[in-house]
Amino acid sequence: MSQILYDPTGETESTMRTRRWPPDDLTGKTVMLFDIGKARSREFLNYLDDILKAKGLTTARAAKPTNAKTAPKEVIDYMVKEADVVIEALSD
Amino acid sequence: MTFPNGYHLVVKHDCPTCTLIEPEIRKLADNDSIGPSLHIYVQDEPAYLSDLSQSNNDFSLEQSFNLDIEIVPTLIRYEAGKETSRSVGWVREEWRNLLGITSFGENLPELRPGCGSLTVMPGAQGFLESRFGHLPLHSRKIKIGDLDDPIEQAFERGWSDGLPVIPPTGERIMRMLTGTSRDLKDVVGSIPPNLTECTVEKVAINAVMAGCLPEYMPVLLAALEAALEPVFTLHGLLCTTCFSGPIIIVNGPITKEIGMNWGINALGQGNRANSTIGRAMQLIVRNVGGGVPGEIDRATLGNPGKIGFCFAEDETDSTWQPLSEAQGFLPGSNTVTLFPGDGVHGFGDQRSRTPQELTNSLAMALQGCLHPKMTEAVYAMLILSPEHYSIYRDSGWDRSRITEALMKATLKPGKDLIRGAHGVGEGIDPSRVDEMVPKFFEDGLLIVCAGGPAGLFSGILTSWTGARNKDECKPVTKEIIL
Amino acid sequence: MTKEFKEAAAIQSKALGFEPGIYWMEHPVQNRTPEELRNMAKDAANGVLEMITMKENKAAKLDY
Repeated sequence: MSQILYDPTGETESTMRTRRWPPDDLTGKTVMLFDIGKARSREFLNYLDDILKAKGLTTARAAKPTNAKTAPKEVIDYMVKEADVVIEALSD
Repeated sequence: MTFPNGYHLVVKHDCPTCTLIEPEIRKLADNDSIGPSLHIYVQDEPAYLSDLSQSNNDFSLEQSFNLDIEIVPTLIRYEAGKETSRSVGWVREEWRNLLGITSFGENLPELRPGCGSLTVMPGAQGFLESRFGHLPLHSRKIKIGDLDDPIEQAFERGWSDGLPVIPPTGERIMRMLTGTSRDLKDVVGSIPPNLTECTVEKVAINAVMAGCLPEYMPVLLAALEAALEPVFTLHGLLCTTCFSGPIIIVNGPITKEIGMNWGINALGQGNRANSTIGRAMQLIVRNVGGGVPGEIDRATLGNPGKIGFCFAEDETDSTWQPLSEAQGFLPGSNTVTLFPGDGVHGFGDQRSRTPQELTNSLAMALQGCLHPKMTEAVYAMLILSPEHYSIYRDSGWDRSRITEALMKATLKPGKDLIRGAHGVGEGIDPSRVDEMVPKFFEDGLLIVCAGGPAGLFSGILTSWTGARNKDECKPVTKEIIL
Repeated sequence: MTKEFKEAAAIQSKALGFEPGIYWMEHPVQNRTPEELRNMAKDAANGVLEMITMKENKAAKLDY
């Protein structure tokens, strides 16, 4: 006779959402540099910011208070409002 | 389960009343009007009545369970798909009325009580309910073969933390749920990293697997809720490359009620509550949340406590203010404190005799939390053993005074801590070279009492480095709701 | 993201149902000198720019 066990897992699986295509070029667009809060992230993004500005791009900055959690709503709302593309760094 | 119209008789060989009426049963089987619609179910002996075509073995007790049998023999009549009458034991008049045979059982006594059915043996009801009944559980049922080892199946399905788990059968889960008054459909929270909703039912399933008793459920539920408080930052804790995992410290009368250990070997093996409550939480993180070592869990080394780390504080000395009260709860409250911590760092000092000496000594050990040259980067929990505490107690030092003294003793000159100092690259910002720098944030040192009565050995738990942003990540204390 | 986390990124992406574009860098980063980190940013800049425009029609795949 068979035995019955009950599933201890969450029993969920996500469907993959398609990523939105990036813009054709960045003229007139804002590149958001998003600091995830790990050590050296801000420093790395400072260097990247200098390089992108030197190429004539418009940049903006955002940061979350700790790498250990998802970004607070106000940070996400700010990026949604201001950014055309987001570069987040640096997960190490 | 449905039963055909006719007569259903449940018997067992190991029942004097059943064997007494056996000749009459055989007459019934031969009877032209009753025989064709007679169904006999034998609960035990394979040979008993096996020569009769109407005889069926019910060794699994499925028919007996579905016929709701408590006593054998029981005779039931089904008409139009429903039970219309039943006689329990041997009562000649009832059997005659049920069968419509006025002379039935002439040579038998008027009545004889039956025997307990195998369905009412101790423990049988729960087992049969889970096997044949309708359980109110919502989790997916996984059918495994009779010859399959359910413990190995759990390993193969990735449910285990590396140790064997107790197979989560319906009966065990239902028993576990008796430990809480909460509805099994209640959502406790979303478990990271996958942020999957976790119901009380899922908590119970993983508690079964961990080896918990039902009475541990309130502690486990409170611990899980504390761990899911945003400020505890469970998601970051389980992903970290650091050593840390969730450590559960329990206070209050419940520690005694459920048999927790705060004494000898309090942090070690051997106590069921200590060993399984923490384990259950980590199984929930793994199985419900998807926090699996080597996948999202990137701990470089981890620590043995990540299997499960839970202990009770020693509250037997009334001069010591327990952690629950220090965290703002009323005396006598049942609480859990979740501390995101590493394994225990041992501290031994068998020579210090005064509070000041011991403080200086402990400060040296505390300085090493994470790294001697890192400051305001971690919390620490000092587990003060009874013998070490007695040095403080006997000089009238209470929790506040001990904490204050340790915080002061762990102030260090910045010049010794900055990056590069003493030939060590790690350290604090060089701009702090002229400061006296505290090792911990203002509320960064917690103290509990635990351990055996003999041994000048205390313990230090260093927190996860997520605490460097102290407003975003800190220990959480929650009341246990019974 | 540094290369040590390719597997973790793939697993978390699958769990959350989202596959971000990822530029992979050498691990670790924590102990680099400022000069080394600046050079890493310089090396990464062009690759990152390719990923956030359609010019070269490239998108990072999670290869692990």
